[in-house]
Amino acid sequence: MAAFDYFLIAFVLIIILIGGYSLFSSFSSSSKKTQLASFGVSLENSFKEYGTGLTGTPGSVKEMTYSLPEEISKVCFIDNSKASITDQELKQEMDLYPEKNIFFYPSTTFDPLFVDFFNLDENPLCIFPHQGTVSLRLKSTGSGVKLNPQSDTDQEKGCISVRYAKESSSAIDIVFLSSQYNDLALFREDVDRYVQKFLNLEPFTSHKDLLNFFIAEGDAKCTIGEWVTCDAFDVDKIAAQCPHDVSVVLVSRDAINNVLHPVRSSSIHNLISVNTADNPAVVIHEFGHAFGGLADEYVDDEFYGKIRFDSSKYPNCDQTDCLKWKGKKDVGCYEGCSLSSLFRPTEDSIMRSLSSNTYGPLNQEVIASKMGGDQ
Amino acid sequence: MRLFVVLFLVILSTAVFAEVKEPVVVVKLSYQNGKLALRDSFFMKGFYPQNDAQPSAGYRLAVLKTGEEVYSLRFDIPHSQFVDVSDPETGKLSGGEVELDRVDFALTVPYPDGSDHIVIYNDHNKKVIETQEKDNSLYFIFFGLLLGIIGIILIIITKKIRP
Repeated sequence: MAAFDYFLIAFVLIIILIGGYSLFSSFSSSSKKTQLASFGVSLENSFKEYGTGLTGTPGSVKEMTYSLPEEISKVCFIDNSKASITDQELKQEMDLYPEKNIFFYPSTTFDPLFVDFFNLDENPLCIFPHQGTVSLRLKSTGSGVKLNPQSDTDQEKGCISVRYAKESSSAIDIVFLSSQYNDLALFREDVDRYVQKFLNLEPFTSHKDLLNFFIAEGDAKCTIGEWVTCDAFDVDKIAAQCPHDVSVVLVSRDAINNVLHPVRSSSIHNLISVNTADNPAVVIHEFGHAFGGLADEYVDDEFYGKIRFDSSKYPNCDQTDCLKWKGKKDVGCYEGCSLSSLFRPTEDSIMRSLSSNTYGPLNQEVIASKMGGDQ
Repeated sequence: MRLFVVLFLVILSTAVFAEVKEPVVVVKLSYQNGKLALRDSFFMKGFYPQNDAQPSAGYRLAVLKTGEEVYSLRFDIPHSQFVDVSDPETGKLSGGEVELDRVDFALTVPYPDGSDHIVIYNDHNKKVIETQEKDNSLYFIFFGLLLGIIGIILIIITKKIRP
């Protein structure tokens, strides 16, 4: 066979491959477009039927889940009758497509849609789809539906900077979340109170330039039992709206109720769950655990008697000789550190009692070093 | 006057915070009876902890993009939880460390555009969790079939041309 024949066959094969690929890609892309169009039709049908009284009565509420292409990372619903949008990215999209009211991200891949018969309390309403679905709560108004997300954490919310000192990559970012607050103004007051607790205590006072504080909007799922425990996944989903190294969830609790049934605050990994009815200094103590990796310096044999406590993991508890901090300035060797058989570096500290107003020199050094500053 | 100063500081503190969100994934993990399991994941634009001290050994989570690691994070399983309460009058603390039979925890890591899956290795560098890669199987089936057909055609043509 002549070389020309081989060349011709190879050429035809390449053409077939390219043609096949583009055909397949366009088929795949048109299938996504069809899926998106079908999402729009499903929305409009259910909004119309439920909102105008065909299947729902005004005031009634229904939860619906809709499918859309898995590649969509965010859906934003716009109520054009409401105040203007401040989100620049979304505003640009709206300027490009003034007649549309549902926008998808990545916006370069998915065109926006127009769907009638809905309005919003909060404009825009941006939702993160979960495994190719968005879950909405529809409230019939008689002329359409009022839209809300089924789950608070699916909704994109904001991040409020309480105190911003430095770019987050070179600072310690502490983010506050609310749980079970009826009044968010009270939550904001509480956050200010806790932030002041940090800023008025060493080593934070000397390292203010390394501390950022934020509020991530959204109500975290927490349970109150013998102690406060928050759902780590739920907390992280909300906290990720802000730069965050440590998350502090303030769980609102009535002071009188707390006297009758005292509830413990807790810390695990980089998550602190605070019972707001306890002394505000408890957040400093828990931060010592979560960020500083410090042990309790009080002794509670009822708790510590039940576990295999390993003092080698903690910088502030040691055996009788206190070798860990031997030679350090202003520290000693005091009996009792989580277990009565272990020793601590200072007579009193916030890791021992909330009546103390210091971490003590050793713990300050540990925390300052983790913050990336000098003692 | 004081109110204005406070308002100005609040506006200023909010205004200077202009960091850009990037694609991240929040991963829900649980650990029980020596087994680590991935329970859920959530993709969004946001932030991930950047000053979370990483242990020198332990589990390692890697984000992969076309076979290459684009991010890696070492982490320990948080086996215990501290629980504390203070006496309202004396400030004396009680409580302590509680060992957990089952631990549910979450990690937030960057997930750059084009990333296709997550792998978690144990402390012996053995793969213990791998999320599903983006499904390209249809493309492979299509090209496999196409190549097969082309191969058959080529064989037929060569046989016909050969004297």
